[in-house]
Amino acid sequence: MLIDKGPFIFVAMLSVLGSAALLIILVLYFIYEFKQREIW
Amino acid sequence: MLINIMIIVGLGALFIGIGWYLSGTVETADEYILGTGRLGVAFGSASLLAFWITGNTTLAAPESAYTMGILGAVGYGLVGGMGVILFAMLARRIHEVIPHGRTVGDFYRARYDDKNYYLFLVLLMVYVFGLLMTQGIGGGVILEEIFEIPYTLAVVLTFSIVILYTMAGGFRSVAGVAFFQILLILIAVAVIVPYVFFKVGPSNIYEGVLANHPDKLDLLAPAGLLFLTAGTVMGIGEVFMDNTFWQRGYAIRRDRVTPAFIISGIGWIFVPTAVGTLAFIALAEGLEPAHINQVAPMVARQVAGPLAGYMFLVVVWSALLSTAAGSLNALTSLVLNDLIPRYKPKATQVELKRYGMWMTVIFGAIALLLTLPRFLTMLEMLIFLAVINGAFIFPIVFGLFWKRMNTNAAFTAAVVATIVGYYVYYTVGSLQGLVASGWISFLVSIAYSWLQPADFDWEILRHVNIDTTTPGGAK
Repeated sequence: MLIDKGPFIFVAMLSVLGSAALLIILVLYFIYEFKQREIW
Repeated sequence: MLINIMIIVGLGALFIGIGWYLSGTVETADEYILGTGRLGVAFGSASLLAFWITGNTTLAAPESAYTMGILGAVGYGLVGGMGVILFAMLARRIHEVIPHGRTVGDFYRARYDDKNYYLFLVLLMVYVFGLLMTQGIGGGVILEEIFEIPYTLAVVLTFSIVILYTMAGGFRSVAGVAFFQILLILIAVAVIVPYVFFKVGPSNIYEGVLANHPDKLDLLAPAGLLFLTAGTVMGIGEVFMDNTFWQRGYAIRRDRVTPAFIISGIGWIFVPTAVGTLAFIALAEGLEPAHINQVAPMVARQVAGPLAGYMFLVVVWSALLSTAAGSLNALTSLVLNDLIPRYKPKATQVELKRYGMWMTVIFGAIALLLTLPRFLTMLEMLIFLAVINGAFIFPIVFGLFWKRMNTNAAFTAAVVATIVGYYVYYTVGSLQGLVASGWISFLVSIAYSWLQPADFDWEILRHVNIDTTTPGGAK
């Protein structure tokens, strides 16, 4: 059973967007926790 | 080659500087092992991701996509990420039942008896040391084959930089530097992969793979399905047994531990999958790497130019250092918490921290020397060690959640699963050995404990480390 073109491209794009979202989440958490003095 | 060495030395100097800056407030052995124990989501997740995204991850994920197709690409991400997501449940439970623990050794010593504890400790140290060596060997080979840096120089640079910043502040330095390393990795992945993918064109890539290698798009390929099954046991076993995850389970503040592990687990799925998609460009365009693990940097360089190649070096190098540093610190913490207090019961926290610094240097130097001969490959070593990981999954899980889990059942399950796992490993196949180890661990643990149920008192775990101020519970 072969994967179709749509799902194939979706998986590739999802992985890239997920990596970018992870980067944004970590930076936002860093800013929030830095302001709250909760980094360490 | 010179510019590659300069990138490595420059990044190394930056990491050492950050590590030493962050070490300023670390005065006790407890802080050296866990930091303040109140780590937030930002540094907690970053240290989990940085440890678990290894140098191998960034190259083996594209390799598995290149050889096993779509199941290899997605499977690689899922098997590693699921272990971390599942550990979120474990971490919450760990905080509940053994709130003052510091390492996985604390749990195993208090939950089971001496024979279990020493068997676990010996095999865990074999595993952690093996993992540390895989980073050195893998790193040396990767840097030599792909980035033209001589193996010996690559290994010496890797371990020297790791030792210098890890010894300074222990866990605090490792977690702090990991934040910057993971940012570098994610920025590079988020830039290189879409740039390369859209330059070739998503439709062209799919059509090219369909024309040249349709089997790589098969969702039911047997090799891919075996990889998914065995990889799941491997991923979960490594995460559950590895002291690095237990350390972070304690180091992250209790109310943030679940989100930190879930963010890390889900996030981890994306990174190798994204890098893995580069392999489909090679399949579609008919590009053949000289060595199969070079497929991703080769595609990046050929499609996007030398700058993308240098960015890939930053990804691999940062991933490599963070994993080696996490392993070195986990090994030191284990010995510092579980063994040293038995032989130096009157040592103060400050003295123990000094021992920790020396042990970091000694273990790092031993790993460096063992890595130089290059006597095995990284993947062989990881799969070999994963049989041990699989054997301890259920003694750990049932030990945390099920009061009927019998001490002798845990011991029998670990021993029988290890023996049967290695028998299958050598007679049938390495991946089948992992699956056998996991299943035997489950069946023996559950059957033995049903036939002879224990009645464990959870209060024993709640009192670990509260009668003493020294690590390891020494009195």
